[in-house]
Amino acid sequence: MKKNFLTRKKVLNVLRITFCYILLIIITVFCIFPIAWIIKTAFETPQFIRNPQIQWMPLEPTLENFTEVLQNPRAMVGRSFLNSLIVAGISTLLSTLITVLAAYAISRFNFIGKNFFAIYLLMINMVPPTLILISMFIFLVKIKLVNSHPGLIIYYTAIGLPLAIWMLKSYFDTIPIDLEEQAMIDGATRLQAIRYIILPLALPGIVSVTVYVFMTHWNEFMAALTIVQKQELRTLPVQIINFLGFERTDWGPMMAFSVLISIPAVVLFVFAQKHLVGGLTTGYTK
Amino acid sequence: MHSYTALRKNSTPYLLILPTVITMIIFSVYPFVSGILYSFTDIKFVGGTATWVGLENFTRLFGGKVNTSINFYKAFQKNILWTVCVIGGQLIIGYIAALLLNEKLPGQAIFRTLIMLPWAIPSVVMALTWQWMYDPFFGLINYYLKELGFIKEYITWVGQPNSTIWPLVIIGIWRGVPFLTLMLLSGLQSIPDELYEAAKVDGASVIQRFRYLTLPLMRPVTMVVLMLTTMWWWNSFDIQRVMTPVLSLGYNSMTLPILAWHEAFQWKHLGRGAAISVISLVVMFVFIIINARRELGDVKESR
Repeated sequence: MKKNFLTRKKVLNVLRITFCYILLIIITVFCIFPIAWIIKTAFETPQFIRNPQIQWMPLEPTLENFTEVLQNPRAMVGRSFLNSLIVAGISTLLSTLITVLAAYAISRFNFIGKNFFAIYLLMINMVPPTLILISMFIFLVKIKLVNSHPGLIIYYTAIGLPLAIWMLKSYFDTIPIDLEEQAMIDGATRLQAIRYIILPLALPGIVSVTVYVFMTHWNEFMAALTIVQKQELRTLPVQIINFLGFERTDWGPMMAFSVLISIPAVVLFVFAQKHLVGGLTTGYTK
Repeated sequence: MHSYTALRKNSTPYLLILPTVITMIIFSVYPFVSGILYSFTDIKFVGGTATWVGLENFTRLFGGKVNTSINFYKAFQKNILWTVCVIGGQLIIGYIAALLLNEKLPGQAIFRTLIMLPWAIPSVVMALTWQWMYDPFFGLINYYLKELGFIKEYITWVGQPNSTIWPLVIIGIWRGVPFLTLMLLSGLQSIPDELYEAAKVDGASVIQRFRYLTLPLMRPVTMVVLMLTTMWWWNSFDIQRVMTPVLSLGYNSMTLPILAWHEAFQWKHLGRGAAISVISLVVMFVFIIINARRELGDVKESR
């Protein structure tokens, strides 16, 4: 009787685990299938892309789509890649710098207006980006920075701040305050305490915030579309949509272009995934 | 909570937040306030001269049979439908994924990485990919739906004036599942195992443990995440913009951010675009205040 009960329990457990795996596999396939489809199409020989019979793997894997998109003067991959790198790179550096200072202040000091400041950083998420964009556009026109990289860079630097500060502040919170106090009792100045004790300890948090901010700026579309209209200044997301206008149904080069755009963000994501996940979750849920 | 008292009060914190405050005043507070003011003007696209027109932008949106007003009501309804369905779908799939990942089955790290991956892909790229999968001639979705007998003829799913919003909702759900899963999983992991052990000893079933243990304990995390995602998806732009051609006004799948953007930058009615954004903001604000007073209180206390 008892033996019977145990086996029944075992069977149930095996069933439960199998059920879990099946559900997990379905969700995972739903999540990664479109990504697999980008890669498959990018390496597919053009005539097979228009094959009415769908293949799961490229019939004859080829780099033709990549050479096509890289050589097409309308695609301007190299130029827009450089533009994206400049805009996202500089704005990320600027916002990280500002973020570290502010996050440290909110985490370590009690000052008048702190609560207001923190609540503002959270509530600003609610404001429609279109509203900010409309007045920023008018402002940039006035100071003659529309259609320029500096215009986009200052916009990005500003919009990335609230979330970045919120995330990094939570990370600083996890570092015991005693460490700095001890160093300062031992005669270190606050600056030295920050430089030699806090920054090394907070590095994973700072890395995760930097990666997150860079990904956001690298992927940003609406402001880039609005603020920069000159073709030679466009960033990648705008350029690929513009390219779509020319190559409406030529999906091979489009997907090759997509792979090229995604590589930096995906590489950074995989590289920083552990820190990113930790940083984000402590940032939001604490 | 830290022992703030141990650190002397001085001017340091103000110096540290000064760059942020300056940046935020110029690039966030000022645009926000001026944006609201612009919604009461007829500010010109070129030259930037503005005349105060009072509530004209708003009355045009709310009243009459003008196209603007019809478009606005349509976009408003679509925006609600879009947000509710996208967030609902994300929440259900995200919860299931998070609960499964929390089972700590062998290989869960690989599953987690794969489920997170769509998050790293630029939103424009993933909108394009879905457009390719929805392709009316060689798209994979048409192909399999026909193979499986769900449709007789290939369908043009997106980009037509009468296209529905449902294909876009699927993309929105797909896009948001990684973030929801990540947040909910971290919430689940912060629940101590001992609680479940104790409940098990007391003879609570799996469903009872979920109903009386997991759900109440997950409420704060869920509410914070829901608040954030609701704000984001209410204002989302990229997917809708990529999936519908440039002059998408009057299109069936148009939402408020798309309407606001087109009014402002395509049709050069900056004031009207601002007015649409202001209305959208007010609706979101009221919604958040009504639903999240308690959770906002939690945020305040925990700091």
